Amino acid sequence: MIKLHNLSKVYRTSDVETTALNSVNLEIDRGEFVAVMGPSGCGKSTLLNVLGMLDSPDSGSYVFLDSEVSQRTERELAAVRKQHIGFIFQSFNLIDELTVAENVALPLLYHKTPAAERDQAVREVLESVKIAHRADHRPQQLSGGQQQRVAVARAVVTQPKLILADEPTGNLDTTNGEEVLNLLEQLNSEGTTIVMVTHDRSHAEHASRVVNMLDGRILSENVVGMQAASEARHA
Amino acid sequence: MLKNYLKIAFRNITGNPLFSAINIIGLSIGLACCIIITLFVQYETSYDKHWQDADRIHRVTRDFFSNNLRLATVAPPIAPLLKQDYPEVEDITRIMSIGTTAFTVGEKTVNDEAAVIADPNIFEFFNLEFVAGDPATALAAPTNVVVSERAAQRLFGSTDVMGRTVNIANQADFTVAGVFRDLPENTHMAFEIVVSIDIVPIMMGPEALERWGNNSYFSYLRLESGFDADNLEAKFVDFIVRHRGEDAPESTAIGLQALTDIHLTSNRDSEWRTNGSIAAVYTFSAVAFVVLLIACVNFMNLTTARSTQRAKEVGIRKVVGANRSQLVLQFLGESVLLTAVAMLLALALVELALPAFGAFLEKPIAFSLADPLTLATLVIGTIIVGVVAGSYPAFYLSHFRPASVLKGTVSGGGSALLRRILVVFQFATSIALLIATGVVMAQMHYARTMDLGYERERNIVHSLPFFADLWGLYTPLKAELEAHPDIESVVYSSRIPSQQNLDSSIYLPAGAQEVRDNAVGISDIKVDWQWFDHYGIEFLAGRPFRENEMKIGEISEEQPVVRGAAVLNESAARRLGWTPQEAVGQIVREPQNGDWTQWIDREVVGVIPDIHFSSLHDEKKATLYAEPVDGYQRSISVKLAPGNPSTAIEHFETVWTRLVPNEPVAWEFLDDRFDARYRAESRQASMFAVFSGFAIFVATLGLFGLASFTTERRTKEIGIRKVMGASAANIVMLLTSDFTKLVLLANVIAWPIAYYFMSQWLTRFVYKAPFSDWGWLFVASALVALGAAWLTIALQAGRAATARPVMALRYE
Repeated sequence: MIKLHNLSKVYRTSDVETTALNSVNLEIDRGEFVAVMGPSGCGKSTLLNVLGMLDSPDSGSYVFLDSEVSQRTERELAAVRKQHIGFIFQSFNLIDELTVAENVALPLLYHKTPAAERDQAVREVLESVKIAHRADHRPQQLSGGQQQRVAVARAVVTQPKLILADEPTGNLDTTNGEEVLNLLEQLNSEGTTIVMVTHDRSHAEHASRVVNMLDGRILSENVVGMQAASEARHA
Repeated sequence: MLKNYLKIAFRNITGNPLFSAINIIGLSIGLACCIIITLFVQYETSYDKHWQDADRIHRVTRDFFSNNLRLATVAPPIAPLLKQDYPEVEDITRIMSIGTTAFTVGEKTVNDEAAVIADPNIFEFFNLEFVAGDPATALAAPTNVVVSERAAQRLFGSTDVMGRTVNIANQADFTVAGVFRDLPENTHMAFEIVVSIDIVPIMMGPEALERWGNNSYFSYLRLESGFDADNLEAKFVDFIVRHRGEDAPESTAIGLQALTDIHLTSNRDSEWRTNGSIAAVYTFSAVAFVVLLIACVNFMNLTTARSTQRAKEVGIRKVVGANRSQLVLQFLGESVLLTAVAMLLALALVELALPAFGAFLEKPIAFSLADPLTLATLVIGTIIVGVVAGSYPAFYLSHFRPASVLKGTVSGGGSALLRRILVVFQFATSIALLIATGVVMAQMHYARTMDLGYERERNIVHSLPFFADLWGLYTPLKAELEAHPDIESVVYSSRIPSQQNLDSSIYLPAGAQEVRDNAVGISDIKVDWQWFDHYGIEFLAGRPFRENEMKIGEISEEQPVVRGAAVLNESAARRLGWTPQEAVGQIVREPQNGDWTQWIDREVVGVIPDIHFSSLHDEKKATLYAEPVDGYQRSISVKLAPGNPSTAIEHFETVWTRLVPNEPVAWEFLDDRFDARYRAESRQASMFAVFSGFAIFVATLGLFGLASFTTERRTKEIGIRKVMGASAANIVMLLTSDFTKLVLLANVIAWPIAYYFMSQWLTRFVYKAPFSDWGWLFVASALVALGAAWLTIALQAGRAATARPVMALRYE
C-alpha cells in the first residue's frame, strides 16, 4: 500500500536547518497495524504528515496505492486524502462550532454523500464507538476520551483504506486510552491499515509491527511478537 | 454542505459578538451611506429626463463679455430667429418668469412667485398633462391664464376653476382656460401659472418682443431627430453677425445647453433656481464609497487578525478532504452572509434616515424595495461587498497547511504589515475627510461673516412684485415709518443687497473721442439719495447724493440730453479710465436710443469701494448708482434701532397695509436673505460633516477591534512585564505607541491630499477663506484622530494593564 524510498524532509529557518526525515525507506502492506516510536523530534510526526499528504517531502519517492504522489498538485492530494485516508490526532481536533454528529458528518459532506445515507452512516459509526447518545452535544461538553472516540468515528466514517493516528492516546488517561486502542485494533481486524505514532511502548504492543525512529532515520523494525520473544530470551 | 457552512458561519457570528458587532455595524453604516448617496445621485441625475424628446431639447444661453454676464436667459427675438434661420430647429418655446406677482381672486390678494409668460405652445412642447382644457388652445387669447393644480388650490381653493377670473398684478383680469398637472420636482424649471406671451406687446409696447436688450426669456428649442447641437452651435457666430452686425461677436455670444444637463452642470446668472452640482454628486459618491471601503477594511483586518482561531478548522477541513477552493468559497460565503445581515440593518437605517434626509435636501427622495431593479441591485451589491471584504481573508485563511496548524505551529494573525497599511489607509482617509469638512465649514463661516462693505444688520427689506412700484406712495410711506422711534431710516432701491443684479447699461465718458470704442457695459442700481448713508457705506472720493440733485428731466426730441448725478464704485471708475479721485466731477454718458442721438449725462459726485452686493459667489461688478425712474422703486430697506424689533415691525406692517393696500405685506430680514444664498453650500457642508463623521466612527470601530485583539494576544507579555515591575502606565504606553505611529503616518499622508483637493474646491469661490482661517484644521484633525485612537486603545490597554498579573499568566 505504501512504499517510501529515500524520502527526506528538511525544515529550514533563516539560520537553522533541521533534517526531519533522512532517507527513509519504508513499506507498509494492506491490513498492517504499524506503530511508529521514537523520542520527541525524531521525525515521527513528520513521517505521518508526509504519509497523510499534509506535508510534502523534499526528495525521494512516495508511492501510495501503486501511484507516485510526491509530484501531485495540492488539489489532487486533497482528492486522494478524501478518498482513502482518515486522521486521528492527539488533540482530537474537532470543530468546536459543530456538534458531534456534524463533526463526524464533515468528511461525508466533502464526499458529497446524499443526506439520508450520510445520516445513517453517522449514526452507525457513532454507535460503533458508543457515543451515539452524545450526538447533539458540542465537543467541549465531552470528556477527552469521548472526544477522541468522536475523532475516531470521524476518521472511519468514510471507510478509508488507511488511518493515520498521531499519538491518539496522548491526552487520555489509561482507561480511555485503552478503549481507543481497542477501537483501532477492531478496525484493523476489519481490514483497515493503521499507522500510529506513539510514545508508549505498551500502546505500541497493540500494533503488528513497530518502527523505531531517531533523528529522522528508521533504526529498526520489529514484529511485535518477535520482539517480545527476544526480550524474553535476554531476560 | 451549504447548511454546514451556514451553521459554522452563524455560530461564528454569534460566538464572537464583539467582532461580529464591529463588522456588522461598520458594514451597515457603510452600506446605508452608499444607499442614501445612491438615491441622492439617482435623483440628481434624473432631472428633466422625463420630458418628451428630452434628448432633442436644448436651452439657448447668452454671454456678455464686457461685464462677464453668463445668462441662462436670452432676448425674446433670438429663439424665433433661430427657428427661421435653421431648418434643423423643429420648434421653439420661450418662458419668462415674472417673479413675485400679486394675484387677486375676489377680495383676496396673494403674492405668488410661480407665474410665467410663455409661448402658447409651451404645453405641447413639453407635453404637459392637462386635467382640464385643451393644451393646444388654452393660451389662444392673451387674457387667458393656465394654472397647475397646486396653483389652482392656492388661488381658488379648488381645481375646478375653468372659466374663473383672476386679476394679475393689479393690471388686468385673466380667465382660466386650462389646468395642468403639477410639474415634477426633478426639473430645473418652476412654473405654476402661465400667461400667453401675446400679453407682452399689449402691456409693454408693440416692439417689446423685438428688443435684444431684454435678456430675460428662457428659450428652448427642439432639434429634428439626428441633428447635432454642436453643429448648430458652430453657426451661432454667423447668426450674431447677421442679426447684430459685424462687431457684435466681440461683445456677445449665444450657445446651447442640453436640457438634461442643465440641473447638474449649468450655474449661470439668471437660472430658474439654484441648480444641483455635478461636483457634489461626485464628491458624495466618493465619500460614501470611502465609508464602505473603511468598513470592508475593518472586516479584512479583524478576520485575518483572528485567523488563528479559524486555523484549526481550516486544518481539519483540509484533513478530511476539503480542497482550497471549497474553503475559499466557504469563507467568501461567510462574509457575504455577514454583509447580508449588515444590509438588512442598513435598509432599516435607510428607512429611518431617509425622511429626514429628504426633508433636509427639500427633495422627495424615495426608496422602495418593491422595485425589482432595486432589489436586484441590493442583492448584487451585497454579494460584491461581501466578496470584496472577504476575499483577502478567504485566500489568507485557506492557505494554511494542515500539518502546521494542527500542530499549533502557525502563528497566524495575517500579515502585520498589510494590517498596518490598511489601518493607515483608514485613518488617512478619515483625517482627509475631517479636514475637508473643516475647510467647507471655514469657508461658510468666512462668507457669512465677511465684511461686505456695508452694514446689513438690523435691516428688514420688502420687495415689490413685477409690474408694481412705490411711485407716488414712497414719500408718505417713508415719512410715516421714520416717525417711529425704533426705525432709524428707510430707503428704496431697484435691487436689494443679496439679490443678483443683472441690470446693466452702456456708459462712456462724455466728450470721449471715437465714442463707441469708449463705451463699456456697467451694472446699474437705482437708489434713494440716502441709500449710502443707510447702509453705512464709506466714500473713497467725493460725497453721497444730495436731495433732488439726481432728478432728471424727460428725454424727448426737443430735449435729447438731460442731466443728473451718479455715484460709481471703484471698478466702474477704473472701467471708465479714472482713479476714484479723478472720477469726481466727470460726466458719464448713457445713450438712450440705438443711434445714440439721445442720452443722459450724469455728473459723478462720489466714488465708493466695490461692495459685495449679491454674494461671495459673484465677482464684485463695476456698478453705477443713479436716480430712479418709473418702475424702479421696487424695494425698500428699513433699518431698525438696536433692541427688540417687534414693535417696529408691527408698525411697519400696519403702515404698509394702510398705505399700500394692493400689495400684501411680505418683509424679510436681510440677514436671512444672505443666509439663503449659502443654503446649498450649508447643506453640502452638513452632509459632508455627517458622512465624514461616519467614516471616522467606522475606522475607530475597526481600531477598537484591532486593539482588543492585540491586547488579547499580548496578555502573557503584559503579565510578565508586570511581574518584572512595569506600571499600568508603562503598559498603556507600550500598547498605544504602536498605533500612535500609524495614526501619525496617516496624517503625513492625509495632509497633502486634503490640501490639494480643498485648494481646488476653494477656487469655486471668488472670495475664499485665507489659509490662516483653516490651516489650524490640519493639526486639529490630527489631534482628533489621535484622540479617538488613544481613547479606544487606552480602554483596552487599561483593562489589561490593571488586571492582576497572575490572571494574565494563567492564560494559555
